Amino acid sequence: MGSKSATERALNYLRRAPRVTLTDVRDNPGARTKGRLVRKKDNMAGQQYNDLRGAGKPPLGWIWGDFYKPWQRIYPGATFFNQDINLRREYPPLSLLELQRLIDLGWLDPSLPIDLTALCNTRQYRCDPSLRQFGVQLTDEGASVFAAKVNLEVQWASETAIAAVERAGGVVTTAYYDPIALTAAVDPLKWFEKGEPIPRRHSPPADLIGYYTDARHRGYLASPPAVEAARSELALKIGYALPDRTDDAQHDMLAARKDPLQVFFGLAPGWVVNLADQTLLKPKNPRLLHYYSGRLDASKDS
Amino acid sequence: MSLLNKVSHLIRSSSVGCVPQCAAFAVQQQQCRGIARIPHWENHIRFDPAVGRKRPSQDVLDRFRRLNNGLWVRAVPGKHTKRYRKTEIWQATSEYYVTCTKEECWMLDKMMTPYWLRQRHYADDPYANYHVRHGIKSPRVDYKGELTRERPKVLIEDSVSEQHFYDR
Repeated sequence: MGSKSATERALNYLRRAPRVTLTDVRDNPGARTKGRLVRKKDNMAGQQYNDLRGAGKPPLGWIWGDFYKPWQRIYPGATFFNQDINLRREYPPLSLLELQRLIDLGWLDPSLPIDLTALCNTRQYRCDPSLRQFGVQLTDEGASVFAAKVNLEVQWASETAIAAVERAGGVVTTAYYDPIALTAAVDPLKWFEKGEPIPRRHSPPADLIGYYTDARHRGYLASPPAVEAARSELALKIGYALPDRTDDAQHDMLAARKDPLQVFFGLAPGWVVNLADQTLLKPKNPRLLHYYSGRLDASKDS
Repeated sequence: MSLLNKVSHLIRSSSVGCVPQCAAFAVQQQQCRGIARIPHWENHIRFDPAVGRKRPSQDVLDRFRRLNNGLWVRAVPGKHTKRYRKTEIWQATSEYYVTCTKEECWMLDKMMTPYWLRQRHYADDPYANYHVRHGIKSPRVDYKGELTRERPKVLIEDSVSEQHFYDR
């Protein structure tokens, strides 16, 4: 150390000296004061601590009297209000006015058959199978102004709505989709991306067989002659002339119906849609063909 | 003498002073309804440990029904008891369902989960006419801006929907 010059020693000292930082300009201790911390018992904001305040509060609906009988418990039981809520089938409604509006604004193409898939692809109408929703319910609001000629497939339709569509020259079919088929129909892209084969539609449950085999409801299981008879019968009942469909340019479109097992137009159950390669994979295994042919329901006992 | 005084003082204090005071205290305790006696399963909103969510009050679900316009419907209390003693007007009116008041509906909504507060549309619903409430001036939307009493229409303005829908 002694051999170094004074300059060198000064530079060494500077090198080891602490740098000037923000901590060098901090306040002296006690220059600023925070809020005074007081003990819990002094910090009650004007409220005294007592048993009532510290106790658990009564539940909602509690009234003075018998603790075990809150307000909502004094009424007689009516379990039928909600007990079968997990079994009821919901049908989110779509009125004729809304359908007309969707067509007028170009969300739906009336030159193609309109089914649940087309309706859900608009993203304006929503149906969620996980909430036990079973498809479209066509209601009759706007029946007086409905003028579109459409081939419509819905899950439930009122008589007035059917009459309004048929008076405009269109066709209505009510069709049942079981929840799995409905999941595929509501969001086809999601179903295809999973790589699962297109499901086959199952037959309706026992309490809906009557509805979907009835020609008056335009059920998809009713025989075509009965449906034709019901069309003319409804036209007589409501009082309008049924348009002639024989020499119609859109006859083929209006005559298009899905197979009772079919979910999508042009695609058979059992096919796999490969979106990446833009290909269709069709089953060849006889057991698969037998399953997707739908004869399983008929020969369940054999 | 001093010993006698001591003994009598003990007797007096034990018989006159202590025992009646304790009895009065006990009676007072019984009369005052202890608010801390709420059973532990009643004094908080129950959460299902399996699901990790609030559970709806089963008492409410067994007795009330929510309509799509937010009203709750209940039966008349006492409709099943001693009907033979009651008037004919009672025989008829006790079969009615009664709507709850605004505050009661608010309270019942708080006992439910969002699943039960959803609008439900069934086919051939016997309550279809009661899901609509006319002539109400309170706001149509809730704090989230969603319609509370009506079904939201697809791409239709109010001026048009008023001409075709009778739900407001």
